[in-house]
Amino acid sequence: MKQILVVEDYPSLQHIYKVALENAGYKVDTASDGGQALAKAQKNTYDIILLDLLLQRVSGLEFLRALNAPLNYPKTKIIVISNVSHPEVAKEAERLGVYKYLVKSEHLPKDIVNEVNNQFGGG
Amino acid sequence: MDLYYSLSPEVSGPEDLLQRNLLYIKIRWYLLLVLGAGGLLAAVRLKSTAPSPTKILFLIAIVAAFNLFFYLLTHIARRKSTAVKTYINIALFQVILDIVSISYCVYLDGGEASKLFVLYVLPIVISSGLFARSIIYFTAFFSMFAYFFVSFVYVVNRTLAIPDAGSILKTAFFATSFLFIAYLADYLYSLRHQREVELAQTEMVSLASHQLRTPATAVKGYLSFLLEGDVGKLNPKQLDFAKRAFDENNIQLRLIDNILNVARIDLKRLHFAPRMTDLSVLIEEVVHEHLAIIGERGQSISFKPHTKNTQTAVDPQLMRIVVDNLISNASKYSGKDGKISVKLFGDKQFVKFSVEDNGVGIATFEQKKLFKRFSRIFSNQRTEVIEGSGLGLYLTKELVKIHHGSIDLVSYPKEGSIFTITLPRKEALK
Repeated sequence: MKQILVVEDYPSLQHIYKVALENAGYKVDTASDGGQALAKAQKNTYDIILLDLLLQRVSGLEFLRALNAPLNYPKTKIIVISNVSHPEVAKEAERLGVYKYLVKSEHLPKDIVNEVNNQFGGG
Repeated sequence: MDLYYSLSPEVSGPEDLLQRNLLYIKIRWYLLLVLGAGGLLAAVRLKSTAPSPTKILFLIAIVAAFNLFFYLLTHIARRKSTAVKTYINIALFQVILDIVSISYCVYLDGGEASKLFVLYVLPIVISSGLFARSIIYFTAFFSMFAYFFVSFVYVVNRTLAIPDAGSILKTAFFATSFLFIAYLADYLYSLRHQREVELAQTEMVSLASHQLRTPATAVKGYLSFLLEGDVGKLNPKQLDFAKRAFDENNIQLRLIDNILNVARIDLKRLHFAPRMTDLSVLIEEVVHEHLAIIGERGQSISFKPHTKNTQTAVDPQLMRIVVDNLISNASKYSGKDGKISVKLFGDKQFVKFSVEDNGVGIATFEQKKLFKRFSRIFSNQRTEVIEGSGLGLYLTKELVKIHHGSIDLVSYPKEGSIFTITLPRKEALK
């Protein structure tokens, strides 16, 4: 079963993404801030990390810098799901190895599941 | 008393007041050096007309002593974290002593004939940087009185006669100008403060909108679970209600986005990234997004490009908001059976697109205020409340302006409206 880490500090959204992805057949782990996410990402191997950027304590961009996924976890794909739609932030995220940048308010849970499915050709 | 103890809006707190005080003490040292040296030089060179060096040295010593005294006092007050009232008293006392010292300078330099009266501007400007309005005007009035007094005393001492009407009028004229300077300084500071308050309010609105968007996005997520049947099948009535809630949530999110974008424009933080874009495809997509809700309202929408070259330099994200707002407005202000027609034209230099409806229309006198913030159309025939923040058309106009374009409106009450956007093809890339 494919494993996904959902990094989101807003509890309801974390719950929504978890339910949507579990319903689609994925094993979902969650983290509420960048520090917690970093500890989990270094301990387990995730296929996909769904990452919010505005997080408490350690931000999403700081998490990306610390994780350095392209070098340390080349098999993990990172999808950013954030309400920050500034192109400069998106560019920086891309530079740090983010595979896809989605604007939160424009994507329904099913759209996010579709994006994840596209990675594996199904759950 | 509260009026007396109020600080200028420029001063952010006791520490800032202290820093400003120390800066003014430093400026006073420099001035003392320049004026003292100048005065002594004049006293030595022009022995007959200038005041005696002893008097000038006495003045320098007095001012240096009081400046040193206040320098030490400010540092002691800082170390002891004295109440803000003490800081204000220290600052105010300095300003008064400045005026007294300047008056003595003016007296030594020839009373009403002296040009040194311009120095009175300094305590007024210092005062406007430190205190609230009441103290600024107090400083101006005190300077007026002091200047008038020394000029009068000088003439009486020298000639043992009352000054003539001409010199009294001249002194009065210069003295009155202090009031004008106080007014000007107060006005400029208030203007700057007002702008800062407005920016702070916009910042707060921006932050609040950001905070509102997250829970609204969560509501959208949960409603989508209900609509998709992910948590069990709903009966037709439940499904209808969930669908209505979903549509309302979309309106809510659009409103939040409009408020956020207006705040970004005000704060000059709107990111503008134009690139060559197929406007026909962009409009087609937005029209498609509106199809469902327009259909539910019993209205219809059509889109027709009348040009082959539909490429133009726009920021696709921002232009999408423009098209979205215009179509959304056309639908809101059209009744059942309303017809909305979107057309795209073009020539070598410009691309134009228009959104036409057969809705309530807008009276000529209302058209001017339509693009202002929080404007609403009241002379319509519809009695129900129309949702909206009153920011949509203001934002549309501002976004078109960013693209170096223009927006025109032709509208007649009860007949409908045509909004036309004209965009230069490549201007936005420059």
